Amino acid sequence: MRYGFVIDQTTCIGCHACTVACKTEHQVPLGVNRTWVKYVEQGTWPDTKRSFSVMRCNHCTDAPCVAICPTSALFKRKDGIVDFDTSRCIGCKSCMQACPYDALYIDPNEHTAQKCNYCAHRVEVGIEPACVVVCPEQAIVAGDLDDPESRIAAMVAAEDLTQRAVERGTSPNLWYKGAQPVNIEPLSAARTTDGGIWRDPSDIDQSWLNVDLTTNQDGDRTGVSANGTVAHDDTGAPRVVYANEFPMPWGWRVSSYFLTKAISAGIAIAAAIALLFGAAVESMWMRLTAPLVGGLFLALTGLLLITDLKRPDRFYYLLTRGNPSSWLVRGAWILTAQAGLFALWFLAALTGGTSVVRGIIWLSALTGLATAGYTAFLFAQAKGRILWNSPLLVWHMIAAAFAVGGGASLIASMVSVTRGFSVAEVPLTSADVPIGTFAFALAMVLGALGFGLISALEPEEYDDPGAALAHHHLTKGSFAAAYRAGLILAVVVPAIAGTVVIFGAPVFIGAIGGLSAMAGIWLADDAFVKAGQSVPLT
Amino acid sequence: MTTDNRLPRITEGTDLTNFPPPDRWDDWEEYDAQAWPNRVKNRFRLVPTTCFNCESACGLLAYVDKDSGEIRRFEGNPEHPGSRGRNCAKGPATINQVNDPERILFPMRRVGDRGSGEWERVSWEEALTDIGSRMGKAIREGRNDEIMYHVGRPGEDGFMDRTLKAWGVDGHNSHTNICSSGARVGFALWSGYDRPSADFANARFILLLSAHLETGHYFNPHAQRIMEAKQAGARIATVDPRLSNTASLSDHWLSCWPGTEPAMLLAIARLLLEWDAVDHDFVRRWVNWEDSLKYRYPDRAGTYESFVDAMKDEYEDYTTEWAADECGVEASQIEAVAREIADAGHAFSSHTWRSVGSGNLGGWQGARTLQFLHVLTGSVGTKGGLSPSGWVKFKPPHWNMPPAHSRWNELLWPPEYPLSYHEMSILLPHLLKEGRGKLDVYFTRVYNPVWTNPDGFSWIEVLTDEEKVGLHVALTPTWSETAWYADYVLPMGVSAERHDTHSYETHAAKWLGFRQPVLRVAAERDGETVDRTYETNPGEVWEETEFWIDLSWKVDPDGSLGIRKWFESPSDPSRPVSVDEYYGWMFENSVPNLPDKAAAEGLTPLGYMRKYGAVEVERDVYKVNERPASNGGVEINGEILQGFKTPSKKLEYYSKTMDDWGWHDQTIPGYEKTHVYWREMDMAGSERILLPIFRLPTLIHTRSGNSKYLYEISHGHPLWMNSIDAEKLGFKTTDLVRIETDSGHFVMRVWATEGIRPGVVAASHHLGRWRQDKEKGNDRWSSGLVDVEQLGDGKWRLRQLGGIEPFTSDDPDSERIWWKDPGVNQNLAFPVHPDPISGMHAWHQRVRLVKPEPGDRYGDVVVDTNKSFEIYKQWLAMTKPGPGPDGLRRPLHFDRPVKPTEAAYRVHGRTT
Repeated sequence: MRYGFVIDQTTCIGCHACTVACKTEHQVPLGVNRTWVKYVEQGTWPDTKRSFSVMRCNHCTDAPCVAICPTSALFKRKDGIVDFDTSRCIGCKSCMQACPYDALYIDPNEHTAQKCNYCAHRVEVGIEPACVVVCPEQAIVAGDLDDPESRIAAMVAAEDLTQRAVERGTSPNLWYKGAQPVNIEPLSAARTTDGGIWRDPSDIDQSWLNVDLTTNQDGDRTGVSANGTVAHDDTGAPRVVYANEFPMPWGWRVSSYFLTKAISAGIAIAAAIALLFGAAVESMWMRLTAPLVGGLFLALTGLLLITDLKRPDRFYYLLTRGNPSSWLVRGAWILTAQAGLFALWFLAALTGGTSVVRGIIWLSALTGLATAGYTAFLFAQAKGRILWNSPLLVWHMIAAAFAVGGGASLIASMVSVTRGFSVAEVPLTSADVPIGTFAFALAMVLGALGFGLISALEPEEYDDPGAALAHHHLTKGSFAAAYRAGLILAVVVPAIAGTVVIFGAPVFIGAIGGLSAMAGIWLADDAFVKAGQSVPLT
Repeated sequence: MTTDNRLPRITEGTDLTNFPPPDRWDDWEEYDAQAWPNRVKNRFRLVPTTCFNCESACGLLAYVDKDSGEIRRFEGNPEHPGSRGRNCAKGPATINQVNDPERILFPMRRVGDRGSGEWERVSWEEALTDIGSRMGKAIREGRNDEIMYHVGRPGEDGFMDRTLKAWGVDGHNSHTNICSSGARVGFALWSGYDRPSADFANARFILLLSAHLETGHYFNPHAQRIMEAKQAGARIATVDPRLSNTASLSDHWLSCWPGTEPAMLLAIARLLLEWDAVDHDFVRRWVNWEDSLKYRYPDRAGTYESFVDAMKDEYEDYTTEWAADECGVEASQIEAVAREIADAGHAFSSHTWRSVGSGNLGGWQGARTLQFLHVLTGSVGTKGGLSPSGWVKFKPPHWNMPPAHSRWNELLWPPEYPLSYHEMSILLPHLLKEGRGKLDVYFTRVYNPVWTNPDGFSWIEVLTDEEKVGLHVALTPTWSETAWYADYVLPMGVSAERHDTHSYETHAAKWLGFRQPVLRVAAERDGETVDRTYETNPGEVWEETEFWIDLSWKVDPDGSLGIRKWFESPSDPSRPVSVDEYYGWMFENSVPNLPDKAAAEGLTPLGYMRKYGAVEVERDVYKVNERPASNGGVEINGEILQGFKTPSKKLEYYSKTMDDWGWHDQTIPGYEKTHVYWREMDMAGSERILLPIFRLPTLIHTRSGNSKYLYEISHGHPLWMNSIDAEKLGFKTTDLVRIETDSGHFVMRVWATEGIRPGVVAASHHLGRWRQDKEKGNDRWSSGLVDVEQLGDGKWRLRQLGGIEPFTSDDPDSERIWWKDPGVNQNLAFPVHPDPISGMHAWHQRVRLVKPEPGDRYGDVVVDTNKSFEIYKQWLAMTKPGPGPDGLRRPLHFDRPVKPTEAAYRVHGRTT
């Protein structure tokens, strides 16, 4: 049993009946869609052609949204339908990153992820999905692909059909008949922000509506999108003239979470490096301040993650209803372990012996590596964002943790010395400071250099045009300035500052390097997170 | 709602079907989509009705929740012969219209000045009494024709005809001459039938002067059948200056100069004649060639061959090369289309309705020259060919029909336009201004002339003048720009809230559809007694059927005017006839085979129609002309056959009517230069041809403003401009452009595209809705707040004060409106262009495209109605006023709504 769709673009007339029938069946709110129609034009007059394609969930056999969904709110039914359960969804939006078809949206009523569910509620009683029934041209064929008697199985077996994004390993169960690449390959037709044939221009607010022309007569309102693609030219190149727009699911909270998590993990890692170089655990920092600050940043990490959820009230579902295949859940376990170790570290320092504390620091550093690095595996599950799928990402994140962990520790130790931050009866011993400072500076230097090296190792060329465009946006396009500034702040400044501290310069120089690393890594990662989502998928 | 065990599957294995079988419609259970994957069950009653969102009248099936008593959604009606269970976007969007938080729920009466926007709620009884007594007084005083019913989308067939006859009022006004007068005349001159009916499904070649894969009459049923033919190997050509979706899906797109279509079609006719791709048997048998020879070629031999030679000579100059140059398309394209037509033979189908016919002076020759190709190829009434509409449109006689009245209303049928199809609706403000009459009670019914008709400011001028319009009653489901100027705004139901019958020429079969108020039907099936439909509709939303019956009683409460008797219950004359009695009689007595079909299911005919919503009356209707005639036929080779509806009962190549009425040079299919003839325009400068009437598949003329899902899909309103023109004129996409017409100007934004012919610009006709109050006066889903300002004598300006904005209502979606541009009403700045023959408003405009001037704003419309009045006079001067032969006001064989007695056609017989 495997239900799927064949959409016949040779008979589709672009009438949007499917869009509206779906909306009325599921009472889909304004602003979001479970199925929609895209128009592309190509050629110059009088040899112009307009063609259509119907976009929606592909009900993949290996659905990446199901794999990444932390609470199994998205699930694969026995009959092949990828369905969802609103009551389980926490609104993390990871499915929107995993889906290479932009099929999911956040429902503005429930604040949960929704999409085409093949009208499973109708199919269970034997009725076709609403879009299939309404279509004037019967251009949407639904049926059981595993039933050789079915029309859809015969079409898939005998006809020349195409699919979208098969290279992502999703095994989609939606085929197109007669769709040209310009219809189904998102980047094969230019995008504009001028609204095209029937929609408002995206920049309507700041452009012409209600503008008194006596004060604004520059006349230059040609749409240039954030993607750098320009409005229609007259070369006849394919251009999208009707398309839905999709918001970026993840923004500053996710970039900030990268940083806070790296700081937290890095503090543990830097402490372990200090131990490696013989630092004592009697100091205020090593005993109490480090787990406190680490814990604080971990709490901040959790806060960012939870507030980024569209259903923050359900955050605990990550643990109580966790889908073990999702790196979001595995990440939650890791963060929980990290939090536990910070707590143990602090408690042990208050009550226990030195060796126990040492042991816990070593363990915290190990979980720190996991805390820093796991996000790379989550991003690898985001099949919709090839830029994020880099195998080097885990090292990038660990390097970042070294850099900001070392940096944060330097800042903390500087504050301890200069501002009397330490608890009076247990001052930092003069012997400890050089070892700690050395170790922290070393961590920062290693991290910064590693961060730079890994960034340099990232491929310049991508086979996938979407990834290539995202990379272009990151390195040469609208995110390039932030990304480059981020790299300089994250690599050059902390590497130099750390090195001079190692050679005896005052700690505050290292602290400046640490702040620079934080700012730089935030800038670079924010650009990276946004660039990854900047490429249209439909 | 129940949550116990699972529902059974109605299909085998994993098979799927489209609808529950009709025997389950009264008790259908399904899972709730919103509660899913929890298997919450809902119990439904499925009640068929008919869509009202265009003229196609596709079937709908309302899912009425048995527990809440509300309509949950609409799907198609699988029992409907035209739409076959499928719909366009506008069908399911009906639920938005039912649930629209902006809709008018109660009758309202104006307080303060007309147009000042202050209203009070009144009861139906008050409204009926006030309006009815005023009408009664007018009729008593012989001022019958001061009562006028002006309809936009009729959506019904015959009820108003009967009502106006019962009143003795020649007061039927329509929207026809902003819509289809051109095509009607073109077709009617040939066959006496004013519309075509294409058998697309069986065609091998389809020629569209239309966009029937996305809009128009009858979009969804036609689009189904056109694609069916295409999949079976048929080929399609579309003639349209603009790249419609239809053009894009065609094998040939002929992007010609607007108005030159007849030249192209005549060039094709010439090729068919040259190639002898002519069905001579058909032409000899069914064309009035003898009369054609007699009157047009009296010097030629009286043989059929000589007639063919005469036609060849007639179109000798219409060479392919000449036409290619005239139309601006490749000669090879014209020849290719001609070849396809020749090859398709009897399986050649076509369509035109608006396009050339409604855009151009002389545009009616578009339909006439198109029909000519069918005549030559014998593809008239054939399988895969083109039939007259009347063969497949089924008009059941209504109950207890009153006789024709004997009046003639010259506000509708002015003497200057004796051949117009039909009423000169666009001239009403000018005729009133000229003092040709006045209106005492003026009903606008699902009609919005202030917005939809050309020269809306002139409409505002007469609607605000109580000397000219005594009482204006707007019957409408929603607010409109015109309802703003009403004295009563009376809420009438959308498709699922009213009774009507209808039948359209969707394919080669006859059917009758029944629109019904689904909540009333559901309530009655639950055993409730419903007296009037407003008891079950939202608020006190009513339906016209009952409204006109009750109003007629108020017009003539004691029966002394002889009006009441036509509206009395046959079983109890002391009460009004009920809808069940009325339609029960029709289905029992007027619909062949329906009583038998109903009896076979143990139902009454009315019960059958309430259950299925439609009935097929006859299928595979072809060659009706060849059927034996019982009376008034034509003799063909010794047989008396039905023939056509022309005076000769044949297809009229030569029209004696045209000659008789003074149009001596237009007696045969020909080519008239349009008023937007490209060779006469300053294309080197800023002049261009504006096509302001194209439609989108998702919007409904001016009636989609109450559908959030439709507006969400399509709301942008750019002016399509070819990139060549954009460059020449110095515009870029989203630049503002001032578009100057003969009576004013408006400001839009540009979309540079390859989808339109250079020299031609176009904007869809749906958008630019406005309201004059922050909260009322139009749907806020779709309208922008404007200031309508009178700048001086006849000088008006409409200025946008804000775009479309989110608002608070019971529907949370109203806070999520994300589109902003209300678009620009173009029609305001169009003076009337009545074609002197068809009466059609020639919509296309000669415009100048210039940069906005200081002070201009997006959406500004500035008009001088004195200028528009001058243009009216200029076009009026082109007419050849009646009376015609025998003192006739109009040829007797020309159709017209609410046809009066023959005496009324004669000038000496006038009673007004």
